Amino acid sequence: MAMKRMTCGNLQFILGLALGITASFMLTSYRQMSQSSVMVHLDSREHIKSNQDLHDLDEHAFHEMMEKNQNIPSVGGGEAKAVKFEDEHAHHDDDTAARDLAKKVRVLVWVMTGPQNLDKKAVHVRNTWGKRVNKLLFMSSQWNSTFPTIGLNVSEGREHLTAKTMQAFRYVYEKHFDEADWFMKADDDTYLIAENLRYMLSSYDTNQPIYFGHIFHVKDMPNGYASGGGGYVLSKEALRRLATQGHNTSICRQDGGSEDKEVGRCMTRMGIKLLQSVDRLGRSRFHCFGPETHLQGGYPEWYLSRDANGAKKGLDNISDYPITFHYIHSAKMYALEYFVYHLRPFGILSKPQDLNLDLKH
Amino acid sequence: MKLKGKKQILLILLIGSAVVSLFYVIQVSVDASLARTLRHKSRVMCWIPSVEKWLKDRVKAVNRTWVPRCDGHVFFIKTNKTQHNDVISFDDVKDGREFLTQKSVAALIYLYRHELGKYDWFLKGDDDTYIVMENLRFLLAQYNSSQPVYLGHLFKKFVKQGYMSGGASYVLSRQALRKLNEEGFQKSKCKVNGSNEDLDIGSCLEAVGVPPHNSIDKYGRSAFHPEPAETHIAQDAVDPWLVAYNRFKGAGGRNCCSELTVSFHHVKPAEILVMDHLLYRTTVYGRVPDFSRLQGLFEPKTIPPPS
Repeated sequence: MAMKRMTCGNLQFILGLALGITASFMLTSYRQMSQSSVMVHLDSREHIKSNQDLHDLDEHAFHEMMEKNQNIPSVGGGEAKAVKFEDEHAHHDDDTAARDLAKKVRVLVWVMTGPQNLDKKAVHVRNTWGKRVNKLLFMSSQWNSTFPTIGLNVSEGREHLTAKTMQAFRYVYEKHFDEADWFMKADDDTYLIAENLRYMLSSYDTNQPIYFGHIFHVKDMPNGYASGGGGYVLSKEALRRLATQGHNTSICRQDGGSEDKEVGRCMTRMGIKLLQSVDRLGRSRFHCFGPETHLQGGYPEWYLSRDANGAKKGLDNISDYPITFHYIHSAKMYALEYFVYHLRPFGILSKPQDLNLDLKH
Repeated sequence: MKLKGKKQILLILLIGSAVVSLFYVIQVSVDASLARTLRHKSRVMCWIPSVEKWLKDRVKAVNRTWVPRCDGHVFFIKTNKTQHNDVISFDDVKDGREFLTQKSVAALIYLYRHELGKYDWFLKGDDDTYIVMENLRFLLAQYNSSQPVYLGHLFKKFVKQGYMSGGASYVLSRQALRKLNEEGFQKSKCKVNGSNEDLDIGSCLEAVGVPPHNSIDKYGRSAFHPEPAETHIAQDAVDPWLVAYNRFKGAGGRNCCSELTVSFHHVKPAEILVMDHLLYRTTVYGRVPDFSRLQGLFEPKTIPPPS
């Protein structure tokens, strides 16, 4: 008798559950079809004609090519003018959550630049995303009190980027260690969304020896290294080790080579771990190129062979909370600023998403 | 406890609806309810003239991004390469610059004959234009489609009241489309051949009494743009001929473009995808736009001809 009753009750429950699940699936697929914000799926087999020359260049030559062909819109053919991007009188976002996070997760960013790039590149960083980090420093080979920039004891040029990087981090450690919780290196053609960086870092403990960036793998560096172009960020402990042990030439190369690879080797020798920076859905957050390259592909060979996440492309492979884009020249930097922080499709509200990696497994 | 008949069904339904609400709550990461209420208010038909050679990249890009957000859409492309039912081919209209007006006239007659009753607004877009549909609807919500309304980026040359740039995209109300056809084309009042379709259609609209309406926001920033965003933002980058045509001076820099901008033109296919990602996917953690502050951003009014 008792068995029969239990079965009946269970049956009702199971029926109700089944009904509910069926109805939910039907409802959610209807919602997806009629929602005004459309999910777009890029066919990953699509082949947009990539510039074969660009494809075969090695990383350094590629970088030179990008510097030359920037397609900056201007009538005279020169650089884009600096643009003031204040909008407080017209623009009212509710950024309480972002500001709270900025107090808890303080980020210092030092930007790699040089005297010849202050008006061409660095100024646009200062006018756009530079305003949203806790502390912003420009590292150059010369002091400039008005801009301002810090003069490191280096010569300009790609062969000295390693020295510039080592000295920059040492400078930050000596002068600004207590002013931030995390320390990031960016280029003067990097675009950074600081709020999304803080969101990612909020999951981690800055007293751990860790760092983050876009991960590359090469044969002689099995632990990988963070791409310099995409920007990378060190914990307090990582910075402490780099600054105090980095003088030792058997641990860290002082100059020459590829800055990001040398920093990577240095980190490995000092026991600093490079952690994954993709989001919970496996989508990239630090980017070595601009959004159009990551959306449509056509990656150069050196990227295809190095990318630790399979050099994916397309709308579904970039996180909704991207952190950096690279090779962003002046006018594009303002355009990005406008699209990310100002232009809005009216009435579309993105709710906070839980996109950080689940660290508890 | 064993329940009988009706109570049993009730319990099943209750559990069912509890599960449904749970799914609903978990699924929603984008709240588009405000955008959706606007959508029901004005039905927009988007028409895009193009040519066969752009099918694979430009048409594909716009068709995957903003075009599906229109209530209806049609591509006017001379081709037999596609079976899609949203592509209309005019066999007697040739491709080429000299036939642009002819094509637009054919399109506007087609829309009058077949779609007039179904839509409130008719937007002409290009295959290299990016449209933010939600912002278009916001702008249109203040206007009455049974009035003759004409919106876009206003040029001052050649037509006394001005005409809207074709590339930046222009919008006609249902009444405007009706007047264009019944009082214009059907009475042979308008030029129906030429290469400057925007000028010729704009001239016709003046002849039948459809005035240009305002799309500049209260901060002096425009909503329709004949160039990409980075060109308008980078100061002094816009071609001087374009500047000379503009009815309103407009600013460069941050003040070029409204927060609720509707269009940008000369946008390459890769950039169309980028804009879609930046607007509908890329989010800034911890910042929530306050849309209530944007009410009254555009003042609905006609633009009188320059004195």
